[in-house]
Amino acid sequence: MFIGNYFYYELPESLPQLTTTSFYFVAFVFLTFVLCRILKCAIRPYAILACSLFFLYSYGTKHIIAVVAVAALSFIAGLVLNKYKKWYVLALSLLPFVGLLVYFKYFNYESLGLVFPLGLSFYSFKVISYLVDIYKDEIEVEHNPIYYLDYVMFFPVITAGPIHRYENFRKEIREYKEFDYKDAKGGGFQMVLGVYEKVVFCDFVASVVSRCLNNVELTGVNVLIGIVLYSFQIYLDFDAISNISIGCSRLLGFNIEKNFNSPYLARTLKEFWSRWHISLSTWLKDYIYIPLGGNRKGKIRRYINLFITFVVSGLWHGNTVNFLYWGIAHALIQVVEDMIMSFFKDKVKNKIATAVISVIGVVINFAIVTLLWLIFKYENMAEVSAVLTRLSASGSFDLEAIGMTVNELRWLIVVISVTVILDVLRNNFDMIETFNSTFFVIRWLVYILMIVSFMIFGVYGGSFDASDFIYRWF
Amino acid sequence: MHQTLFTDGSKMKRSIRYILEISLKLVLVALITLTSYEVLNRVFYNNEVSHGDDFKSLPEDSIDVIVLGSSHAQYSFVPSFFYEETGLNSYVLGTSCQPYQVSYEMLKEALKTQQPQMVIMEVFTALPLRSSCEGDFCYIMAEYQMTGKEKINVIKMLPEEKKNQYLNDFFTYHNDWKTKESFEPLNKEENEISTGFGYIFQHARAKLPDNWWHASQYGYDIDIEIEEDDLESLNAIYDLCQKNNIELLLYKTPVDSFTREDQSMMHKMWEWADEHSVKYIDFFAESKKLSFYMGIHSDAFHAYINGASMITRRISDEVNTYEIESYDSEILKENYETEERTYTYYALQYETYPITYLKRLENTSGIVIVSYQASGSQLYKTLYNGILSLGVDSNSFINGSNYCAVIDAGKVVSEGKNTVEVSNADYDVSVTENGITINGEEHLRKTNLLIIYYNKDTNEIVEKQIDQYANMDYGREFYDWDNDLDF
Repeated sequence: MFIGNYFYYELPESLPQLTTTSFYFVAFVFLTFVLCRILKCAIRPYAILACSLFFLYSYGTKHIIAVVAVAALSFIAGLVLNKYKKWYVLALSLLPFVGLLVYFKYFNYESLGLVFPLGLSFYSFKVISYLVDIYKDEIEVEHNPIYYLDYVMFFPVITAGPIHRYENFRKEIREYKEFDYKDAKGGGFQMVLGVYEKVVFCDFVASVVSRCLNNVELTGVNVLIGIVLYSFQIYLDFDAISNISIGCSRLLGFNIEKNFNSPYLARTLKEFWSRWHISLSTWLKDYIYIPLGGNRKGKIRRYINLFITFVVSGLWHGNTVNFLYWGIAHALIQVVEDMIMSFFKDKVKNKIATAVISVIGVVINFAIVTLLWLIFKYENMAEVSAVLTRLSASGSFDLEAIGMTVNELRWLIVVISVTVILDVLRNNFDMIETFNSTFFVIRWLVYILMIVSFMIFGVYGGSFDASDFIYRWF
Repeated sequence: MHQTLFTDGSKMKRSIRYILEISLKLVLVALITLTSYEVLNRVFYNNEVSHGDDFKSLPEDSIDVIVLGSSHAQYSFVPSFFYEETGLNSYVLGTSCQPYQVSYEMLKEALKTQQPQMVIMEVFTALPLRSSCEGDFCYIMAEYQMTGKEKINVIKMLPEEKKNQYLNDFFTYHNDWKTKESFEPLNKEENEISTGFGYIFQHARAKLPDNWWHASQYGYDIDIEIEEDDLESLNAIYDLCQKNNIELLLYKTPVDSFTREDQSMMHKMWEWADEHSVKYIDFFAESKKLSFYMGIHSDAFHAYINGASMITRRISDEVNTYEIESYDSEILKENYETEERTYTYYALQYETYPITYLKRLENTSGIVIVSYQASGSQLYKTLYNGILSLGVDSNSFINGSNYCAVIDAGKVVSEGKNTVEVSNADYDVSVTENGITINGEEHLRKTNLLIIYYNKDTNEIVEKQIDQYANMDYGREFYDWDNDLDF
């Protein structure tokens, strides 16, 4: 009787936004997948472009205009740059995109009736890398505008990355490898995993974070719990959308490198940045840090380069002064860390001591990253300072004051434990591939467990208050 | 070579095979999801709001007369009385503030399994007053009583944010896990005290004030039209009845038509009925003829059991002028005779007549727990006197002040403003601001008047009644409370 109700569910009167955790997005991806499978290789790029346009259209035509303009301009700039490989041609080519990014990040575009173009931060970095790579002769220029539009507008990654490079995409859009069932299955599962991570884990943790940090009467341990959980929230949030993007791309036949590699298991901040938002870190390394001289020009220059790179990273994340402080703090701590590591280098040789130091490193690094996320979360230092004041005041753990029930606490412990265990396992082997090759009974039991826990613990429905992805509008 | 848009033969076959395989798996996942929903919803979140009176459980083609309308229909039409007078089986498809549109969908739903020969429709919700209707009980009914397109049409009337909730109540209730103490099968309302009396305006006066305006005396001078949606639904109900050869009869209960707008609207209804050759009984206009008095036969909204008897028997007289042959369902006949499963009867008998309830408690040998939270205004005098008759001293219980007491066999053993506690060999009872605990079992203490009757010999709560509207000021807009009717 009840099941019948679903079949009467009506389509909305206007096109709904294809948000990545919505049923409509899942249906849209499945249709795109079917389209890609049945169409000839030569037709597929057109189909993918049409799907990307449709995806953007669901957010509004203004977003299409912005991305098409950027793609068209950078396509022409690529052709010109390919012909005249001069530094000033490159500078001239990059100027509109850097300018656009700076304008929308730092100026009041709303007064002109504009909206922030969806995914601008991500696709402008993509076109910059494309132009610089042409200038450096590292890639061939693209002559086919459809293929290039596909690259810039590729819908699985346009909203929140990862920032993939043109080199791999160029091959895949042309050759379009044979359908690999295992790959598609892995991609599909990774996508579902991302949705699960967001709706069941992340949004629940987010609700606890807001209860701990927004209530100004809470102090001490209660605030500490909120701060630590914010670290988990931002990780789960960004990892979720990366899983959805990468999984969706794999389903459509495009391999995109992983964006996270158990970042909270890093022993140093430097290592953290090789595991966190990998596509952005490598982009900053390849297009800012190394062109500035990297670590080839002595220690002082290296530190300055590091500083500049992280300032850019901070500015890329947002226009508040706190993002700048956050970038600077990351750079300064890495400088100090580098000095300490140089001092201890090759001095500890005992395996047990190394392991102990590694564990201590992980804990200290997590504490540093967590404290720095606090700067990232708030708009100004006064708000950060207020939270730190509350943190330093005495206050014992008070479930009732936080507004949590015992059941919520139990579930929170499960969520954090599962996140940590999966991260440790993920650090050692490819979880998705391993899972997909296990006995089907176990796999289906996990599916059922996921479905049931999604239904019970997911943040959706009448009390739906799920936050948007933190990185979507960066 | 012939060029196509699609991939070549063998590749295509392989692709289609994989797509089919993936599609089948997706269907399997969808089925697991829906089954899990069903299991979870029934085991953990089963809301019994209307399961007890499931229309769909009736035998096919067993109902002769279907009654549509709002709570006014629920409280004024008693199927067992109707059966006594006419020998016909009837069923009230009425819910609180049920709009005409919902009545239309309910009728369509009913026609899926029943072929009634007559539809009796109570017309209150056309009144402008219905804007004061709160809650969406009829949509909760839709969740359980309706299926298919009819259900969707009802849900479509809801605000956007509520639609999902009623299409799938798991969307709302799945968050109950946060407060559940165990994952045992549990009725959501188990530990709550039922809302008992419903709307009680015991202060309703017995006679109209001198300055009372009535349309029959002064004419229908307000230019008012039946709302477009209502008119459309009314016409649709009429057409549906015509198409299915069903007689239609309209009626308005004798309460709640106090303003010129109300009277003019009811006159419009009469005009509509006249145009369509449909019989319309306006009990408000007939109230004097029937000697129907508010305060004796009804509160400000709903008829009491004695008032419902008058209304149902008057409608029965009218129905007897039609030639309707009963389906003669044995099951229903048994129900009427034993008065079981007739929700309306129970509602009227036990919920809408607090004075009867209080009088029954007067001579009881059990424990009566009284909890009254004044919320700034006085309790209706009739209710106040009824409580005094349980053995409470008027010096201790001052009308308009909070009061709670434990009464054992007619004697107050403990009383206070907000809290009381009694502990002896037979029972432990405590009343606090948040709840009432009887031998360790906690009950929510809702605002206003709550009376619990507890049998200490069998250690069970025999009855518990709450009147959340005991001191609501709503009726003051219409009545002069000083002329209170004293029982």
